[in-house]
Amino acid sequence: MSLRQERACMLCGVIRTQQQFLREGCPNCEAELSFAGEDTTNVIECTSPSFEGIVALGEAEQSWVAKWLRIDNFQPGLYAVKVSGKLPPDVVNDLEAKGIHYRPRDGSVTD
Amino acid sequence: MSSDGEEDRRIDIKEDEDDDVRGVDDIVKAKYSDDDDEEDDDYDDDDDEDIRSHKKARRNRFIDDIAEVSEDEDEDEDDEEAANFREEFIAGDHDDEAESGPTKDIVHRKVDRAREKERSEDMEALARDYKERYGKSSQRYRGDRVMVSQKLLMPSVNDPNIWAVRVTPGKETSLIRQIMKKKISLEMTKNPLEIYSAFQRDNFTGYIYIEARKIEAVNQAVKGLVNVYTSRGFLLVPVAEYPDLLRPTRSTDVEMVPGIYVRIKRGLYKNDLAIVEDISENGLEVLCKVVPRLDYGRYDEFDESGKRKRQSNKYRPPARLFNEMEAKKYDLKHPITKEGHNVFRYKTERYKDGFLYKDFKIQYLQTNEVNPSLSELSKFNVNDEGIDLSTIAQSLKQSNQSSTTFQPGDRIEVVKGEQKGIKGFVSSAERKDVISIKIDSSDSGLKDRITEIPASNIRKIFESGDHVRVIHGKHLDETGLVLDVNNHQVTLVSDQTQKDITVFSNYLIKSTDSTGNNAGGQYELHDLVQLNLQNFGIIIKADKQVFSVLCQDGRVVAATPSSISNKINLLRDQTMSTDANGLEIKVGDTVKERAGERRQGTILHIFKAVLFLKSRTIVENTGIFVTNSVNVTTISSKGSLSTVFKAPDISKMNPKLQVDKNRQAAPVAQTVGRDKSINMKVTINSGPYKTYQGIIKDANGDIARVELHTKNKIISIDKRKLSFHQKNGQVEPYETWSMSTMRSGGAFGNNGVSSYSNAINNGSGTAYGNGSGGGNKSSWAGQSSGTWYGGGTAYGGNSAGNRTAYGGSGGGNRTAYGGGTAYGGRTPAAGARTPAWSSRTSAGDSGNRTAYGGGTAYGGGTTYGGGTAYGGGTAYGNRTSYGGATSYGGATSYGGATSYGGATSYGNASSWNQHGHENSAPTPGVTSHTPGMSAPTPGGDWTAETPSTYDRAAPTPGGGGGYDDYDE
Repeated sequence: MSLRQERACMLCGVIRTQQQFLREGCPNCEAELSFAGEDTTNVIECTSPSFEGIVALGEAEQSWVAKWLRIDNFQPGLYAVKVSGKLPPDVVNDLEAKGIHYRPRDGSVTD
Repeated sequence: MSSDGEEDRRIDIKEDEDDDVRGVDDIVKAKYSDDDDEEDDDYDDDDDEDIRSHKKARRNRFIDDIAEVSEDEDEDEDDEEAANFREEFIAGDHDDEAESGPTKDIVHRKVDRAREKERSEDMEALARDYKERYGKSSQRYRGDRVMVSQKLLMPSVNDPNIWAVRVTPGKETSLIRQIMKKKISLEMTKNPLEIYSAFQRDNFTGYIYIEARKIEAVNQAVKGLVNVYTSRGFLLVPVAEYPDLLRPTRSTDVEMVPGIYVRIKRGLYKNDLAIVEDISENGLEVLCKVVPRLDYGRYDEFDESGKRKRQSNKYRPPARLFNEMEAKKYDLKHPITKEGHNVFRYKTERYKDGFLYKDFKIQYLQTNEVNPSLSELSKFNVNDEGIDLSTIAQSLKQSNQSSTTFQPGDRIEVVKGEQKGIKGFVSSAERKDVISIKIDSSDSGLKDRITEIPASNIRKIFESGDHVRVIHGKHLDETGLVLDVNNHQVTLVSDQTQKDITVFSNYLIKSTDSTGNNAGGQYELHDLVQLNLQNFGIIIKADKQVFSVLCQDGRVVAATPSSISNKINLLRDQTMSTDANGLEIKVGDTVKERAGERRQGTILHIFKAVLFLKSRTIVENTGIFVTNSVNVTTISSKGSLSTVFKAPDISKMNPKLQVDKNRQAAPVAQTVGRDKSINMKVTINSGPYKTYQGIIKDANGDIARVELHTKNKIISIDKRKLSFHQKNGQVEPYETWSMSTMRSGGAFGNNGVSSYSNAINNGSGTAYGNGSGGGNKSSWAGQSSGTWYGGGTAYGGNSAGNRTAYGGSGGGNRTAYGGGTAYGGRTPAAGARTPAWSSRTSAGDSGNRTAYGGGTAYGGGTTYGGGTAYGGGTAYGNRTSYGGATSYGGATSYGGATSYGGATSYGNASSWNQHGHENSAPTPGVTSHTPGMSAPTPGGDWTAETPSTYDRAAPTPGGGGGYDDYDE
């Protein structure tokens, strides 16, 4: 389903390799989740190796797909439709404190 | 800069165009006001401008005034600030000319500082700007902060279209990646890819989806990509289906919750069943309970250095619960630490109650189509804690739904979902996955409401005492009585094996019949089977594994298929016996016992005087009983062709007719090939069906099966009771008809003629014999040989056979001739034969005349004038005269042979045939006589006279060379 070492950010769904996450961080959520750096903890905890449905996102603003997946404000790139796993509760709390509502992408929440 | 060159030019042009509209000042303002809505290109331009201007400013310090004054043309005139500064600088420069060096330096530094400051401010603004534009993403999360329900995001017609593109299955993701790369690489070119997104879903294999406004963009996107099938075009996905394409959960997905059964995809426990115990917080690791596969190092191999060799992947220890004793016994290297009651740690793994508790990564677990078998489940079920079938039902979701069949009327309980706990009956099950049920729970106010429930959410309810049939799994088709119901598990005692089996309730249906069809078995109900050398019997009950066999001695034994040696197959002929009265009985007859219970039944099998009968009134052994054939009397015999004519036939009692019959039967028996009477239209002459008309549908010997016109009924009847309707409208009795059929029989005529003519050529009587083809013809030929060459001799040759044959052979004349001989009839044999002949011609009273009457049959009345010549035939009676050629000539009758020459007469010859055959035996006698008599034969004379005859007869003989001569 996914290439080896590839992971999807649980918050925005972007697909990158673990190395990319460590080196460049998440293009959308770096401020909140700060992946980049030596410490792999965040990458391991907040990204998932299990994802499905790859979306190549081009012009996010005009795309209904992006709107539906709520990735319309994000950078172009590869995103996953479904990301297994959930962010750790403390991370979710932090996000809530920042006014960010975390919506798991594992299909457990429907609205 | 070089890369920007082109862009610069472009922008210059743009600006020139702008000049016309806005003027220089506007442009300057625009440049520095730096609006967000400006194009990126403009920013690049600004950037360039700034840098350039600074560079120029910096450079000014080292360039002389003149050079400065003679400012190159291409310097942007609108660079006001720079220009002002320049002027100031130049002015200053001039002022400074007179000042000392240090002062000059200070000024320079001042200027420098000012510039630096200005520049840094510039840069800060720039950075701010950049941040404003691009820094957002890296600085703050841009995801939605307001909760917008997805319902509000539903697609509308204004949204871009989504096209489905057929691709090679399995290549979807790589194609998406390729399209992504293509999109990025074409981004900054003149013709960027005008698609907005592309995606794939794992459960829509063979397709990728591309979102764009125009189909051309899709075309462009997939152009040049392999594994894309464009030939059939792209499918435009209906707007309403967009959300389905992007639903995060697939319908086949099983939610990972503790307690469900999963299968492990990799490693030592590959394909093993596991129970989910716990899921890590992030949902990526799952603690599973597995039956461990341990060998405690027993079979470890070590290389020279003492290191354990890696074991081949093929071998893996059997799944068995962890055993502390064994571990201690075999594996001394690895300590076992006891962490609690029945909890051990061994080789870093934790074992509780013998099970291994191990974390598995979620991607290595299979949640779909787990299909746990009961044997696997039983390994987990050591503590009799019961199997939670709801979780199994979950695991079985989708995969085995087909096997769970709900039928209207099934009593069910909802085990999952909002309606959990509600009981009811299936009201309709038109779809496999959604069942509509009629609620029966009285406590809820929903009684008698009909609602639809997913099939996976309901289970069937059975109660002790229900008779059920297994419809899925190992025990397929077994039936039994429900003993116990424990949640989803139903224990039943099998009708077949008498053993208790436990199955899931959804694998059962209510059933009333006990005998399932014995799938794949070679024996069937009511088969006669051999159990061993002594015993045989009939299968009275066929279950899945066991047959009940009623033996010849009346015992009922249970036999497994393997204990049955073979099925007894008897031919119909072999299944005959006689009853107490000595009457024939056979399979299908109804008989009754003479003594005892006086049971009555229809015979199913007869074997070695043992009868197996089936009665409709007896209950035991499903109505089958066994008895001996001497104990029964026939009640009714099953009708068959052969028995129809068993009844005494009055016509047979008349000996005369009897003889006649026998005679007539013979020719019929000779019939070969297809029975000629089939499809003939007939009238029945006697019996209950007298005067009925019909068509013969089938015939066997003398028996015809006649389909009556009136009743649409087929009856079997003796052919002799039939009149045959000829095509010409004539109605003939069977005898006549069969004769005429024979006549038309074909090849005989020609053969006979040719042999005949050959004989003529040869001039030898024997040749005739040679010329003969078949029995009939040969006899005829033989006789004729006698006739011609033996000539009178033959006649003189008194043998009855001869004559008769003769009579038969020639048709009109010769018959008469023969008749003549008959008169000559010295031989008693001849006399004997004549009547036979006459009877055949059905003429009548006296031998001779009859013969002549027979002549009539030949038809030529005039020939019969020749018959008078037969009167001369009386002369025949006189042998000598017969020898006389004249008398022969007198065979004007022979002239009558014209008729003989006539083909028709030959046709008659064929009818003669039969008689000739009958009489063929005497023929040798003729030859024996012939030599003596040959001398008188006036061969020449005779031939002299015949020509005329043969002229006419020419067509018939067909080929005699000698006759040809005469023709000329």
